[in-house]
This record gives sequence, structure tokens and C-alpha cells, in this order.
Amino acid sequence: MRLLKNKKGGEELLFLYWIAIMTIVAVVFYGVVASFYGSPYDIREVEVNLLINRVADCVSYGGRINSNISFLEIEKNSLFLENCHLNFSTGDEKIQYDVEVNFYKIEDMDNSVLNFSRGNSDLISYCNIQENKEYGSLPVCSEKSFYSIDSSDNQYIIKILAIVNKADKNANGMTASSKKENNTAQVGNVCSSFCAIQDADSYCIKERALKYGTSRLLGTCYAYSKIEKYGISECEGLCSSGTSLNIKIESGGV
Amino acid sequence: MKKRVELFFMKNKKGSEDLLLYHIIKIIIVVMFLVLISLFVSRTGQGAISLEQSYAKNIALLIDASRPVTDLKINMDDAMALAEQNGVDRKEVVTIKGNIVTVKLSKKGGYEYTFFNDYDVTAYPDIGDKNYIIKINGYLENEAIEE
Repeated sequence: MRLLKNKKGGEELLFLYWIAIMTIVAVVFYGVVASFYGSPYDIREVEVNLLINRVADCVSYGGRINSNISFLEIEKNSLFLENCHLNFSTGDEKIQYDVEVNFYKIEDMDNSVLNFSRGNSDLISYCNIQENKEYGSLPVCSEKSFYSIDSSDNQYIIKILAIVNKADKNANGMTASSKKENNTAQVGNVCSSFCAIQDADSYCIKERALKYGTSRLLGTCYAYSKIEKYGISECEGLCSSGTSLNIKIESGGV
Repeated sequence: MKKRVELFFMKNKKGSEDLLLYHIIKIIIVVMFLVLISLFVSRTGQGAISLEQSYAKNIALLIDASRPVTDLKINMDDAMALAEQNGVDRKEVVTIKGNIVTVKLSKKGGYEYTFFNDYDVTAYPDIGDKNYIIKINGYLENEAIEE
């Protein structure tokens, strides 16, 4: 009788455990599915390659540099977008694309004979940061080069660097362009070492950037640019986790 | 003695019935759990927000990859069914203004994505079926594009 009672109690306990395990599985499953479908589809890799192809077709077609386009005019009058039928407006405050085209004579690959760029040139700094590792929340960069000849049969290598930001629509979390009003506290939560040094101007960031290149590892953060505007210093950084930061510091306080 | 044996078997029978019921309940709960999970996954995957984003981005990429004077016919069966269910007019499902593609599958929703080609593009539903036609008519006239 006692054994029977014990058996029944054991089964009830087992059933409770079983329900608890099912609940845990359901919660984990819900979290995984919600995070999978909740994160936006990142199509920038495809987009940046399409942009390079588009620009490549514009400057050179069928292996010959496009004679319809006067590159000197482009350089002089900034008509690159119009000539290549590109439209970089996205409705955002800042332009979300950048394109840089360099022409090199085949004999001298170090010095470009012609270069022009359009879009938001600030985005290039993000490519330097991602040389070794890509961060989903930062702009996507891609560079391709190809061989072409002009009408006088001069040989060129054309290098095209294209960058697509659009991080708000393609990546989770804070992005390179997002600016939060009360972001100092947020920085403290996201990346404490960066928060700890934010009072020191020497760490933030211009001098370091000049001294060490565009990025410098600061504890768990990368810090890479500083803009001064109306007495406010604006620092941008990147956590090693890939989260980008944007903090504002009063000039007098640093 | 006979009575004792009968009682023993009756008790045993009751025990096995309980055990059977317990297992049946367990199986029902597991089946319900699996059905709920499958429903949740399929609903989340085919939800308006997810489909809107997927179609808007796909259409933008298709336009970026195309040359002028191209007609694209896109099968949007699932999206059109969802739009119909949510009371969205077929003509409003995909709209293209300038270089912004908007896909709307619910009355409150709508997802926008831009393409970089300076094309004149129109979008309209195909007559009679659930396809959508994206027509790239040509280049837009050169206007002040850069900010």
C-alpha cells in the first residue's frame, strides 16, 4: 500500500517535471523563432554587388571604356550619378550609399590616373574597421576591379568600391547612423569600457584615429571617429560585439 | 481465497486503466504541443510583416538587377491571399513611387525599401490571377538627384 502510494506520488512528480520541461522547450522555441523572424533580412551583400555591376557597366561596356561619358566632365561637374542613372536618395537624412571609382594605368597600379566618388564618403571609415571581421550592424563594403581599354587602346584597371549602409532596414540593434537622444546611459549599458573613457578627450577619438589609423581597440570597444558641431563633440564607437555607439559629449566637459 | 483473487484482479484492472488514461493524456498533450508549435512557426513565417519585408526587398533587388524596358511578373499568391484576408485592395499591395517600393498586406502595415537605379517603374496586379506586374519603362529624366 505504501509502495503503491509512493509510486503514484512519483508519477505525479514526474508529470510535473514533464510539464516543466515542455514549458521550457516551448519558451526556448518561441524565443528562437521570434528572433529569427524578428530580425530583418539582410540583402546588402547582394545590393552592393548589383551596385558595382551597375557602375561597371556604366564606365565600361564590352571591355571598352564608355566613350559616351566624359570622365573629365564627371570629375568637374559631379554628374556621375546622373550619367550612370543612379539615384542615391532613400529618404534618410544621410545618403546610404557610397561609390568610389579609380582608374589605374596597367603600368602603374599605385597611382590612379582618374578617380571620382559619389555618395556618403563618411562610410569608407566603416570598411577599414571591417577589414578583419564583418559586423552586421555596420555598412557592407565590396571592392571589385576589372580590365578595360579606351578608344586609343590604352589599358586600364578600374577599381570600384561600393558601400551600402541601410543598416536600419537590414540589421538588428543600434546602427552606424542611429542617434539616440539619451544615449550616454545606453552606452554605459552596452559597452562599459567605452563609457568609462568617454570623459577623456584623448581617448575619444580624433588623436587616436590619427595616431593609430582609423580604429583602435579600447578594451572591448573600437572607437573611430569624432565630429565637433556647435560645441558638442560627437563620438562614434563600436563594441567588439558589433554594436555601434553614438554618444554626445559637451566640449567643455572633456 | 477466490474473493481475494477477484479483488486483486479488479485492483490491477483499475491500475492499468489509470495508467492507460495517464498515457493517453500525455500523448494528447504532446500532439497539442507539436500542433501549436507548427502553427506558430507557419503563422510567424507567413505573417504580414515578414511577407511585406520579403517582397519589398525582393522587388527592389529585381529592379536593381534589371535593365530598362523590362516586365517582371511576380507570383504573389500568398501575399495576395493575406492582403485579401486583411481587406487590402489588390492595387495597393505593391506601389512604387520614385525609387521607393512599398508592399502593404495589412491595413495598418506597409514596408518600404528603396532601389538605386533611376528608373521609371510602375506596378499593377495582373488581371485574373495573383501575379503582380512590375514594369520598368525606362530611365527617369535627369533631375537634381544628389542632395
